[in-house]
Amino acid sequence: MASPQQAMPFRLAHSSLQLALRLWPEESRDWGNALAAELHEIEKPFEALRWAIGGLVLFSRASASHFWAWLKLPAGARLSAGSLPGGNEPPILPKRSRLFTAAILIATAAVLFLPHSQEAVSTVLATWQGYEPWHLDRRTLEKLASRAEKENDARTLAFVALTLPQPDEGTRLADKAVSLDPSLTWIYASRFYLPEEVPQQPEWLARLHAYDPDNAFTYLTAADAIAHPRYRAMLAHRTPAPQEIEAALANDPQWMAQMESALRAPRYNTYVRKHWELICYEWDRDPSLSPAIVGRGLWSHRIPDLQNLQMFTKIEIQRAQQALSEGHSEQAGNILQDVDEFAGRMVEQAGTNFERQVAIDVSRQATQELRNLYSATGREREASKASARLQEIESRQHAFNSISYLVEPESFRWKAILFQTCAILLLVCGVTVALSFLLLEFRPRSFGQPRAAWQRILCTTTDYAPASLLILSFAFLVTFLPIAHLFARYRSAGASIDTFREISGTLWGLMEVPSSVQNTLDPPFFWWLLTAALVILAAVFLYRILSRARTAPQAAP
Amino acid sequence: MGIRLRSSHQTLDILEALLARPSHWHHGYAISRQTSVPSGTLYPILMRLDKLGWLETKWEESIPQGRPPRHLYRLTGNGREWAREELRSAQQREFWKPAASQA
Repeated sequence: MASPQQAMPFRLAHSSLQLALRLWPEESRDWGNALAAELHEIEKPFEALRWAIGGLVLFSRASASHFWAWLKLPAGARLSAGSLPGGNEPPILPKRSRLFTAAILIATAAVLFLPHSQEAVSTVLATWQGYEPWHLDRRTLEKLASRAEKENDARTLAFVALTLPQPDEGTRLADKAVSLDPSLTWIYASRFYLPEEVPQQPEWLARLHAYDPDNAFTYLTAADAIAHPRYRAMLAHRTPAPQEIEAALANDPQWMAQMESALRAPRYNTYVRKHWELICYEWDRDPSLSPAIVGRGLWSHRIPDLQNLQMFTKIEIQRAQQALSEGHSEQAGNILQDVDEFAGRMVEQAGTNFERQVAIDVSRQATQELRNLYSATGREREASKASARLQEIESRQHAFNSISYLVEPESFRWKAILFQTCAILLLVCGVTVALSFLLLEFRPRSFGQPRAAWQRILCTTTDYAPASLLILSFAFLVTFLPIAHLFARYRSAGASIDTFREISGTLWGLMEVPSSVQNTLDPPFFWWLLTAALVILAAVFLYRILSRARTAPQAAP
Repeated sequence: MGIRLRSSHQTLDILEALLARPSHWHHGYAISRQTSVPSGTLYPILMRLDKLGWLETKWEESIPQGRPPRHLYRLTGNGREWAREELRSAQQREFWKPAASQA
C-alpha cells in the first residue's frame, strides 16, 4: 500500500511549496523553509494541502512586503548588500525612491490617458507619419467598413472607400456604396486619384458621365485616364521632353476630344463640398477618429491633372496662333476666348488653391494672346481692354500667392510649434527616463566604477527626469487644447469650402516641425553632425588616454 | 522598531499554547493543531513575535533521516511576561477565554 506521503494532494503540496521556496525573498526564506519542513509531519493528505495553501499565503505576503521594501529604495539599490555589483564600494544612488518615481510615472500615465491627451497623441503620431494611417487606424477603418456593410450605410462605406489604403478593398467598397446610394457616384472620380494602384475601371467613367454630364471635371478625369498610361509608357524607356508629351497628346484624338468637351462644359466642380461633407459627417459622428484618417480622407479629394490642363492650354494657344497666321483671326479669337472663359469658371468654382492658381495662369496666357491678336489685327479698343484685364489678372495672381487659409496663420504657427516641441521633448524625456532606469537597475558588473561621473549623471537624471516627464505631459496636453478646440470647431462648422481649406491648412501647419526635424536628420546634414560628434568623442578619449599615460610614470616611484 | 502585534484571538491562542510549557521547544505544526490556527496565519504571528524579540527560535539538531530539520520556538523571558499580561488583560476584558475553560 502506498504511503500517505505519496498521495496526489501531498505531492501537490510539496511541489508547490518547493516552487515557492525557490522564489522566496531571501530575508524571510528561513520561515518558508520552517513551514515546508513541517509538511513531513502531516499524515493526512488534505491537511497537507491546507498547510501548503497557508504556505503560499505566507509566500505572497513575504513577496509583497519584499516588493514594498524594494520600492522604498532608490533605483539601482539592492535589498541585500551582498549582491552589489561592481566591487566593494557602494555605488552612488539617486535621492528619490522607486516608489516616488513610480507615483510620478503613474500620474504621467493618468494625464496621458485623458481623452484630450489621447487625441493629442494620435494627432502627433499622425503628423510624424505624414498622415499615413498606421496599424490601429487601418483596424478602425476595417471596423467602420464591416459595421457599415451590416447596416447598409452607404455614406460610411464611401468614406472608408476614400480613406482605406488598400486599393482593391477600396474599389469594392466604392462600388457597394454607389450601388446603395447612386448620389455618391462622384466618389469614383476620387478613387481615380491613384491610377498606378487602382486598376482603371472604364465603367466608372461611363457612370460619372451619366451622373454629371455638364461637369468639366468628368471630362478632365476621362482625359487623365487616357494621358496617364501614355506617360507611364514613355517613362518606361526614358524621361521624355515636355514637347514630346505635348505632341503625343495633341495627336491623340480621344484625349483632345475629352479636353475640348471639358472646355465647353458649363460647370467645373471637383465635388470638394460633397467630399468635405462626407468627411465632416463621419468625423462628427466619431470625434475620436485619428487625424491620420481624417487627413487621408480629406486629401483623397481629387483634382484633375493640372499639367495636362497647362499642356492643353499651350496646344490651344498654338492652334490660335496658327489660325491667325492663316488669316482666320475670328477663329483664333474664339479659341482663346473659350480657354479664357473656361479658366474663369475654374477660378470661381475650384475648391483648392492649386487649381485656382493654375486657372489664373491659364486665363493670363489666353488674355495675353488675345491682346496680341487684337493689336496684330488693328483692333485697338479691344487690345487696350485686354491689356487692362491682363493687368487685373496679374495683380490678382500676385495677391493670390500671399493668401493663407488659416484664421490666424502666425499665431497658429506658434501654437503648432509649441505643441510639437512639447511632444518631441516628451518623447526624449520618456526615453531618457527609461534608459537611466534600465542602466541603474541592470547595471552590468563590467560597466566601470560605481562612483564614476556617468553614474552621477544617471542618478541626477533618475531624480529629475520623471518629474520633468509629468510637467511635459501637462504642457503637451495644454498646448494641444487650442488645436483640439479648432478640430471641434471644424467638425461642427458644417461643410463649407472655407472650412475645408482651413482644416487642410491646419493639418499641413501641424506638420511643419516634424518636416523640419526630418529634413535636419536627412543626409548630408545629419551625417555631418554625427561624424563631428564621433570625432569629438574620439579626441576626448585620446586625450584621457594620453594624460593617464603621462601621469602613470610619475606616480610609480 | 515599527512592528505592532495585534492581540487577536489567534495570537492569544498561540501565546497560550506557548505558555502551556514555557521552557519546552514547540513545532509549528504542533502549535497549529493545538490552536486550530492555519499555517498562513500562524507563521506571520510567529515572525512578528520573533522580530519583537519575544520568541526564541532554533533549528532541530538531531534530524531523523529522510526529512529536513524542523524549526523550534519558545517564548523568551520578556516574551513570557508580556504574554501572561496580555492573556490576563484579555480575560479581564472578556475578549478571550482560555482553551480549558472553553472546553
